[in-house]
Amino acid sequence: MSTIKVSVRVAGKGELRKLRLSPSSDILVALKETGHSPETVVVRLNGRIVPETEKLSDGDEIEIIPIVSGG
Amino acid sequence: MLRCSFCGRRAVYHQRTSGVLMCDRCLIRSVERRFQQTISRYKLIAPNDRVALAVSGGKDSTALLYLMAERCQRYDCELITITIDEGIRGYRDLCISLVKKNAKALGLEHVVVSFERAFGSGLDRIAALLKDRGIEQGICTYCGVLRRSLLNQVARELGADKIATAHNLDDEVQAIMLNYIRADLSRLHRLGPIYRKREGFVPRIKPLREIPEKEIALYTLLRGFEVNFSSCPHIGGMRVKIRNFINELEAEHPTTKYMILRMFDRLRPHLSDALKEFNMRRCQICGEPTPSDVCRVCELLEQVGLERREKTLISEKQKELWRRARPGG
Ligand SMILES: [Zn+2]
Ligand SMILES: [Zn+2]
Repeated sequence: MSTIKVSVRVAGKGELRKLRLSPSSDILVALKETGHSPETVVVRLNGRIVPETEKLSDGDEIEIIPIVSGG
Repeated sequence: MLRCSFCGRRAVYHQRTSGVLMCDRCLIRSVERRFQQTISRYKLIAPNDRVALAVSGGKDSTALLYLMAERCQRYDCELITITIDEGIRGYRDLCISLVKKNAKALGLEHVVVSFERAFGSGLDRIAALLKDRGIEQGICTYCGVLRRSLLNQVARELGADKIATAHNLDDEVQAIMLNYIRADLSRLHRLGPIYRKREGFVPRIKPLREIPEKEIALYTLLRGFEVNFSSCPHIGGMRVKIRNFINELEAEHPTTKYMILRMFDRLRPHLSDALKEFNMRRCQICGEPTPSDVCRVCELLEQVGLERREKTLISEKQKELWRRARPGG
């Protein structure tokens, strides 16, 4: 079975993670893989803000913006 | 590509509580509509009200700042922005310069009052004092109690009719659960869209209470506001656990947050019956209104060997400038 490769970066942090996912995966799958709740982040896919139910394609770049603050 | 359920443009958000997809324009409109609805449904603002806005520089208060400023251009209300500088290095200092910029862009007056000036110490130092003395009391309790008290005092001195805070749906639901778990009936009772206290207290309103935190974040990003998304370095304790727990539930059962809020709103009118009536007095140490002999601020300050420094935070000169700047004010 083929897989797709996507990269995940958390805004404000340098590290880039590569994920291998099944072809029909959406962003929610990538959030789960990286331990993020969809309630506490906004996601940019290839530079655009998108719903987390957006499907992923091979080579996609995901940027996670944590939005929950303390005050 | 997912498309907006209303207009077919490229979607930016999937509102799981309703199953609706929204584009940037429809999301912005939806947030603004709920803000206006909350104000009219609960009659949060009366004509000609002077509203003191508590602005921290984070996403919620920046969204509220613009929403209120735009509302006040259409309806008659006067806005004052207030920032309480708790003295959290590397966090609040960054936020304050952002607030200044945003307030200036909107042509609004901006007042900053610091813990340092009011109590002689900022929060970072209070945290160190608590640690030195081995006091269990959480630093967030200090921060919350001192900040609310200063905000009330400044708003009162500036003649504000209301204090508007930027609590969103997530904040409100967390507070409901937190007070429920702590069995704190009187704090629980104070939650809600508007809280009118007794003499000496400016009524507090929460126009963003019906809007989820995520939608506010999207709103600030989509409108291109400059905000600080970083979080307070002192945050911790039970609130974080409750937040994570509620978010986990919400992810599996969307509408959990609204259900908690709606249930609380139905219960709230009945809570006053369960609470004892108490008379407001003046704190024997500082003179601020309190139901006991000594107010909570003085009680907490005493534990760390501090006290209120100045009784008046806004000078007569400053007030005079205000009056002159606002004819009829
Ligand atoms: Zn639309
Ligand atoms: Zn006192």
